Amino acid sequence: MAELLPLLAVRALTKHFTKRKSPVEWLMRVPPVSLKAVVDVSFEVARGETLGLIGESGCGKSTLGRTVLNLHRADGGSVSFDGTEISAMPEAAFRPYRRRMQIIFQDPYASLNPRRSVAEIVGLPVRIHEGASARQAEERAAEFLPRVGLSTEHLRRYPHQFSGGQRQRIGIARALILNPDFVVCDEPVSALDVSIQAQILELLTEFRQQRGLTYLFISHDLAVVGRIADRIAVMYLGQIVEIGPKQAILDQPAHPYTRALLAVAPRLKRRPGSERVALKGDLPSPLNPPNGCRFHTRCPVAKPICATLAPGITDLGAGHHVACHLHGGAGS
Amino acid sequence: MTGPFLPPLLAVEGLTTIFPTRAGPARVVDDVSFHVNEGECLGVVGESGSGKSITFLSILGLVRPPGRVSAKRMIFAGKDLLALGEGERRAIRGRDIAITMQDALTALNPALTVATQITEVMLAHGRARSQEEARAAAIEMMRLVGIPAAANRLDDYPHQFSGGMRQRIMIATALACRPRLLIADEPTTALDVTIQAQVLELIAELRRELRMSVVLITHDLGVVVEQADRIMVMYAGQIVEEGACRAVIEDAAHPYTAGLLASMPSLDTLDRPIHPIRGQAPLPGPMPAQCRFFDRCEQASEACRIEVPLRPFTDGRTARCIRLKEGSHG
Repeated sequence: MAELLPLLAVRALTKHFTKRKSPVEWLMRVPPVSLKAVVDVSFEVARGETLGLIGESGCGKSTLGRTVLNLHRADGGSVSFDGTEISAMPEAAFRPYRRRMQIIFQDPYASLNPRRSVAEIVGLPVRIHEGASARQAEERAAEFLPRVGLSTEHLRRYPHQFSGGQRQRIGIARALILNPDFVVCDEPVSALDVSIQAQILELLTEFRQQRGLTYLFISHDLAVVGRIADRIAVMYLGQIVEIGPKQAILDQPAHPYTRALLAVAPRLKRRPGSERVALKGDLPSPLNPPNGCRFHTRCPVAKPICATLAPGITDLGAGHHVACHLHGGAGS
Repeated sequence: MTGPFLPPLLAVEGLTTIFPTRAGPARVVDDVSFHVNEGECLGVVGESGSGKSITFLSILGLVRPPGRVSAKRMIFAGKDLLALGEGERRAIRGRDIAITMQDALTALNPALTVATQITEVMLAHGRARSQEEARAAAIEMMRLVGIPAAANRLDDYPHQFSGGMRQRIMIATALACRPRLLIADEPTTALDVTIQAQVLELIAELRRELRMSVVLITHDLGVVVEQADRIMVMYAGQIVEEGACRAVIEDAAHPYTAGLLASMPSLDTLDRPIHPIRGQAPLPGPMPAQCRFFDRCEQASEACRIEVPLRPFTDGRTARCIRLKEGSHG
């Protein structure tokens, strides 16, 4: 294989947030509560590959994406980018990597500064990372805009003058103008109308083909991820419960949670009612995750062992891994 | 299915809602006519700004000035809604026709307990004679929508519930008076996929149990496919296609419907390349006298530069496209 090193290697990554105490809690010396948003997560992304990361809100997928980019400091584990360990790097040393690792945000309304023109928004990365003057940065922005389907006449406009889809194009231009190697796409189409979603997915696919971009594509929508990803990782309450090639995940899902997600994914062909089994209950609070397998409280096939022992990871072959006792996962 | 001679529960003809904009009056709902049969689920599909929500707010009399609503005919359960005064309209709203909003957190009053919000509507419409009776009915309603430990949670506030549970509470307030028609406006959009499935399942169950008619307003064709008997597709304030759900999904007549279907990510069609509709929907405002989908349509020709009427073309289906002639399709 020509691919010697994965572009991104994440090992046992952990991220906790500590809940701020109220004055009353502080006075009463209530012990601090920590939210374990990402727990012991490991995966790799090969050069030019798209890894889809799927899960429901609150499962930690956005936190994982941001921790990988060093936007959150990791509390444990490591992130290695192109062979270099970056998670413990001081900000100054990390700068050269920052330009190679970018992010596209979910909400095109909240992620663009309303007081800056498109020229300033898209040109800013060029000014920061290449020390370009305002004028040079604007020229670069003008060159780049047509590639995301906007034109130079948009340069002087402000975010509120654009539709959601156009704003997302501005966000994409800002992320890609420095020609990065790796981009975290954090729910980039979730806030958009269906016809606009398809346009943005097509644009991201084009960039990947032209520039050999590597994506970590975060979404709650299995059908969207199925469109764009080569491999899929399924996350539940801070942990990856299944990861594997797209076809394996979609055709032979091994984890009961993945099966449940597939059962409720949007389809155009109506399925017989029996197939549509909705999961019972809500996502448990990540402040107080269940013992044992974190999914056992909602799992339709849970066994007694699932409530006490967290499953280890079972290798199903061909890069397909699952963390579930059904597959004989030894405890961890 | 209901018999062919039973009048529809709701029949609307020539509904038009106009808002003034800087560019001139915008017909955000433009000459919309449709009906909802007894016990039927009608899916209303369209993207943001298509007028799908405003259509139903107009019917309920919830459009405030400067918006102006007019219609040729608006009949609900044999009553002429246009002839009713505000008081009589109010008696129907919430009791016979109920609506659930997309965002349960904004639609519910954060300062009132859920008990107050569910019982209020029952007491206001005389469906309960006393507080005690209303509370008992509210617990029953919360149980019906699947809220665990309903009796204990009655005096909780909306923020104490999860997103899926809040949506259920809003459905409970809507169903408190056992309406004949439930208008569910994007009931699942703000929810996670596994919770979406639960809420849709709940609406389907309640429809069977309470024999309600349901209007399901959504941008998500996937939701409609599973639930609706008929669908109505809206674009820029107009109905562009209407017909039996299966028939429309399997063989869309209007290029916009076809484009929506091709845009929709679905696990059935992963091998098909993405084929988005180009451009974006027109902003509300005065429209040129031509097909409103003209700029985005791949099959558009000079002949499309006319106001295209909504025409029937084959068994019970209608569409707004000049390429369709009666009996030409299917």
